[in-house]
Amino acid sequence: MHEFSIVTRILELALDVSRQHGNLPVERVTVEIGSLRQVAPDALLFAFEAASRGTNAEGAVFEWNEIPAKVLCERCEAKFQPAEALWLCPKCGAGGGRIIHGDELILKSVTLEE
Amino acid sequence: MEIEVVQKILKVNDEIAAGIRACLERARVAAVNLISAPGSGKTSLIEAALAALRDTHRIGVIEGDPDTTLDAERVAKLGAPVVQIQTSGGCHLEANLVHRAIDRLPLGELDLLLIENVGNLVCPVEFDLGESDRVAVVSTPEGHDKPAKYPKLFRSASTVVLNKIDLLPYVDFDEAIFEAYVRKTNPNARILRVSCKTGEGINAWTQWLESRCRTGVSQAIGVKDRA
Repeated sequence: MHEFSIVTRILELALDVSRQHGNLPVERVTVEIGSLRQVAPDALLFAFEAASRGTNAEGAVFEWNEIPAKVLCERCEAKFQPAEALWLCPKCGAGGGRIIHGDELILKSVTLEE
Repeated sequence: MEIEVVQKILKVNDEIAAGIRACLERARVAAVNLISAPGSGKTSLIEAALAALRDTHRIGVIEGDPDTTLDAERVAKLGAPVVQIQTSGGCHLEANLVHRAIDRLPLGELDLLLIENVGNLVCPVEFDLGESDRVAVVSTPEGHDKPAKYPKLFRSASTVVLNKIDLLPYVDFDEAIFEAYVRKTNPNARILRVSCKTGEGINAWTQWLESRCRTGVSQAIGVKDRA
């Protein structure tokens, strides 16, 4: 349940934004999660609801967008979107590769009530 | 009013980890983060390393567990400085916990720091601790499909230790399939076959650790010195 640590950080960042804007309540947080991050969005949502209780972000909408994975083959330099977690380069069959997209875990924006 | 933030959520962890890495490199301490399921033999591998290297290398240990100091007690018996982190049920170590633990170790006197993560194949993978090497440990009774089910760990590990090879005759573990799965996730990973019980393959494990103390750290520093 490492989602709770992640949510704690999201909440801290969102409440920082709220403080910087006269403590306006948080209406929505939007996060981007790479498809290769081992993070369960449902668990994030559950943890966010629990952790935000009694804060300025209580009741805020937790929105997440998935960033699809993109991998660079280190042998033939082909770029591809892996179809499954255990991928091989579709061009040369090599395993591994460098992750270009899919490892994101980003707080994109915070919407405050006006 | 929507306010753009665009910040890495684990930025604080990554920054602390980068600080730990720089601090360890300055002190010329190689750091190995051991990740496995509970019961794969991380503590036994640490004990084997201490037994083999304690006369020639100074090794510090950080033990991560949800509860108890049992592992730290095992390691302390072998005379190594050890700090037990109790995560109070937490499923992984984070850089801030390791940072505090390092403050309690005689870093200037060490060659190698062994960090035993909480037994878990998912959560620890997501948190950089500032290690120079990550080691994935699998034991044969767990089955040969672990790299297929948890590819991210194997992708991020420089070395894979297959422990409990003495049990191979008794369990359904196909080494060829296991190796093929490892290669799919990480073509360059080093695979070490060991048995902490019989001692088979332990030399290769301790020699690899020894090489990390010498070349790992000094090479990393050498590259920087030349740059």
